[in-house]
Amino acid sequence: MVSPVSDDLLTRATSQEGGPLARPSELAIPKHVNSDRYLAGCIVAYLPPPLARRAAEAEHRIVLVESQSAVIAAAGLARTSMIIADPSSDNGTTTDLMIDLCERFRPITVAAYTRLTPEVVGKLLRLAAVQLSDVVLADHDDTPARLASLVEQASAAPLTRLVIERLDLQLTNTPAPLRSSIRLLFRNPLRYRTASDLAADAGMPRRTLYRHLRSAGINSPRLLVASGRVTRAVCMLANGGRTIRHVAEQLRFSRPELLSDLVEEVTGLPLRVLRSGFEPSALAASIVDRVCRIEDEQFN
Amino acid sequence: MRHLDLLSGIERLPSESLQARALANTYSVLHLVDRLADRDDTEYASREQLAAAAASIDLVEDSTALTLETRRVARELQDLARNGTSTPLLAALVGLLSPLVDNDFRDSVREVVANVLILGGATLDPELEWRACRFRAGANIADGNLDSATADYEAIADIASKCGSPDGDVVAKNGLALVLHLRGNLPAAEARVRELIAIADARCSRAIRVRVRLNLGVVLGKRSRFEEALSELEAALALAETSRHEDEFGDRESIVADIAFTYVQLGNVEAARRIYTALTFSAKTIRIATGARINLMHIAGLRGDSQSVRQLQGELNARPMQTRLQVDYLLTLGVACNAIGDIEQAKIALERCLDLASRTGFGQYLIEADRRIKRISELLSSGDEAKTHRFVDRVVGRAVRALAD
Repeated sequence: MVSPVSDDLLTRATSQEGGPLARPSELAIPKHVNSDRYLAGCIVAYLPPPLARRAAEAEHRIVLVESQSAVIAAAGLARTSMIIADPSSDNGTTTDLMIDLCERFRPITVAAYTRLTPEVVGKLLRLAAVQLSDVVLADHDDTPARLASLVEQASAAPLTRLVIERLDLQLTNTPAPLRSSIRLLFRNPLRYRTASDLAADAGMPRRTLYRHLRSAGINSPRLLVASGRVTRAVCMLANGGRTIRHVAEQLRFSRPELLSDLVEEVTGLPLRVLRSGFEPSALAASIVDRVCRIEDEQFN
Repeated sequence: MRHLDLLSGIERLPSESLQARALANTYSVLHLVDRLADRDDTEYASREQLAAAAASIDLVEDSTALTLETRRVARELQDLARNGTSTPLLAALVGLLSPLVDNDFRDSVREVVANVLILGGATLDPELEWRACRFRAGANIADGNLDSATADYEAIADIASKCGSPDGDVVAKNGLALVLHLRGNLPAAEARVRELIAIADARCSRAIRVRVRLNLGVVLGKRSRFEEALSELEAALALAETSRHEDEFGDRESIVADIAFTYVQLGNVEAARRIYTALTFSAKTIRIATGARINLMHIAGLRGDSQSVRQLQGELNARPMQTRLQVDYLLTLGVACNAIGDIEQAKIALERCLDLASRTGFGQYLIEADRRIKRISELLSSGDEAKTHRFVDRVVGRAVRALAD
């Protein structure tokens, strides 16, 4: 079966206005920044009709496909960063498909959107063993805001992956729960406002968190925590159609200026420069470098 | 993925049973709490939608603590938008931790504690904070993460000192003494707990006084001072029996189980067997019920009842078990197999016990397993002596190295 999903469709899906925006001509691109626009990741959903309808109504950026072969074809496209499916559909064979996607198409993340029934529990447990990333329960937490949050997560995935890969090099000797919480920090950045939130999530007192981070060479827990929201903000702004005010509001900054200041502090680049384009791996390197190098005052 | 332990619990139960539905309720409610803590919706809309979702959960009607506390959390989620403060919800979540512990859902305990701390933030009531952290410390002990438990108890001590909570202070010190005991430093553990008795009697709630006396009784039992242990445990039980609080039943069961342990050591095996048999049916906590089965296996071994040892071994092998119980189980299995003459099985169990104890830092079990292995080697000395010695040298050497580390 020929896949109905194309790179072009995914590009349009990830744009706020149905197509890539022109780069603001007044901004000079610094030499160290590639002039390519950031290619956002996107969500491909394979869902039974009622859930597909709800997803389409709630979030126009979710790309719906209608067959398992189309999902596999979509997983092979560079832009696909998340696949969402119902493990109970197709008499449960979608579970096998999702497991296959988890195993064969890393780093694509796979999330479940399903109803909580006795039959689906075992399927979710099988999927958990292969790193299912999220569960959205139908008629429970499948709100437009929740689905939008997954879209933003998928959109930021290519950049966050690069940041996490670099951070992982620093974190090899830190406890597994802390490494896992730092990954979640980029997936759900609003959950973490302070280092105490990260410590709580990693199941350790803040003092213990500081000790582990310091021995990993991370000298700014504050910037580490901020880097989650900043990475998300940079990706949201890079894909056009949104003002700084809107993004600041979405990411719970009380004023847009605070977002601008924090972006510059975490990345080392002014927001207006980043908006005109950036080279993802250079930006990821810069973020991790600053998180490690800059020292928090209260960290001693 | 969060709350996998709850999903695993649902999977193990008959699909339409009341218990499975009750656990599914808990999962659904905690799923909404996760959303709230993830803060990925706009505040007002999010709270309204969460309230509606919580209201739509078809909550089962039963009177278990897990269900009652789940209902309370669901109710507070519904009231959140109207109240404008999350304190009642956070208190309800801390209330849910106790039945989650009793049912051995340790991953969910950690996840709920994280949510309480994140949702409460800098304005979290310090009483709620230390109470939440105490459950996380307990989960860490059960999993053999003794360093993490130590860090938790130290943090509890800090919080209690800042908010002037005698209960929190004694909980922290009692917990640190428990860690010393589990690491194998019984004299230091006893000294620490003895210091706490007077403080607890003067300043703390009954539940905390019970815990301290229980801890002292257990340490004395481990030091083979069984008469003293029995006296402390009976005092703890007398204190606990004056309580009508449901959440203190677990303490009572724990005390009774430890009293039965001292009965065994004092030769009153039949009384102990009756207590453990009753606990396998009536215990409200999985930990106590499983511990009772482990001790019944020990008694069966003492009686040379190989059939019962095998039957209980089969039952226990089929149960998911927290690390602390697993170390205890392996040690007891080794002892019981040795008692019924299955030396090979005893060696395997004790080696596994040593391995697990050395990986987790349960020094007390290392010492006990080491002592048992030496006893086995004495029994075996009439047989293949060279083989026995090789075995003993290997496992004892490993135990000594682990303790030195």
